Amino acid sequence: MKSYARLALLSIAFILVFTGFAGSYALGATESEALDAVVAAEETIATCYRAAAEADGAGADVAELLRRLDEAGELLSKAELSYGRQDFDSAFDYSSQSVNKLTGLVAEAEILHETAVKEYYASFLVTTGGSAAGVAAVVCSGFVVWRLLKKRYGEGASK
Amino acid sequence: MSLEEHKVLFIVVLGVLVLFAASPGLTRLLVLPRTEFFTELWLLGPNHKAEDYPFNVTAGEEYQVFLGIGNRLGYAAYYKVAVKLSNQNQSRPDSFNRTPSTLPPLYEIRAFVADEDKWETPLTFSLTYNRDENQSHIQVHDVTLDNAQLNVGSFTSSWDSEKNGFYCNLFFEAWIYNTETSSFHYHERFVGLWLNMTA
Repeated sequence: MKSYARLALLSIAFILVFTGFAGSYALGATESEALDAVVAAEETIATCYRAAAEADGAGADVAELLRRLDEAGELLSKAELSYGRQDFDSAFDYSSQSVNKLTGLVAEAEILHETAVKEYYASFLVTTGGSAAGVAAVVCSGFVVWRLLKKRYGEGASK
Repeated sequence: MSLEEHKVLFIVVLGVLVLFAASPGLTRLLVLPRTEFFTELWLLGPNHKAEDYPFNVTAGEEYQVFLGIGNRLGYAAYYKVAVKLSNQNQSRPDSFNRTPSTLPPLYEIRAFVADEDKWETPLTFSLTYNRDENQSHIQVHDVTLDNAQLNVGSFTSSWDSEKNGFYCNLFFEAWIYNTETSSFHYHERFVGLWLNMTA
């Protein structure tokens, strides 16, 4: 009987401690933690924007990256609003969601950037090289045609 | 007619063919530089046209507008649109001096817009307010923007005897992120609505 009572007490204590921890984890964002999270989200967005802008400058299609940045930006705006209303839990949560939206974006932007640079040079070489070859072909053909015409009509005139 | 008489014609035809062959390369080499770089900021009414803007508003009633940004800056830009509310006496953005309002933003909308692209979003807003006992002031308690309750503090608007109404100005300032300074700068663009808060 005594052991049952002890077990019940231990169970109650465990539940209380567990719910206490869980509660403090879920609702425990302090003002400074929320502020740090908002600042971190702002910096992450700025870093990702720089990477996307560089890829865009190289001619990459960054529409998907900008769409994700838009979503992250909206979450950051909500985080700032929550922080202003002293709802630090929501501010922390929105900031974390904002950062999560941008996971891997810098690496993706770098890949797009490199691909765009390679494609640009390849395309540049093909168009300028192709044009140069075309011009050379036209000039050479013209020269040959002119020589042939001159030979034929020149001989015809002499006869 | 001898062959020499057709020489000019031959050279002209050859020249045209040369230009034709060179045109793909020329389009890559002879790119005219863009000279005008700017941002468009617009506000449209509920029918997505520049008409029927909300003006006479009622407390608790929802109104819709469309906010848009067009990027012609030559690069993908990071914009922040500061949503602000002022009464007749408070600071508003100045087109002449190109300065923003000194009021703190109620909300900040972030937008990432590619070059030569546009961004647009519908905005639904409502105001909750009531008149004071003397009927000389209106106290705005809440501004709701897209279901987000914005903190307006102690915002009041006094009776405008010239225009016969209690007015407030809901406006949107465009700010742009500068990668060199890692900060936002006022982009000298704003749009807004004058609202007459009726009973």
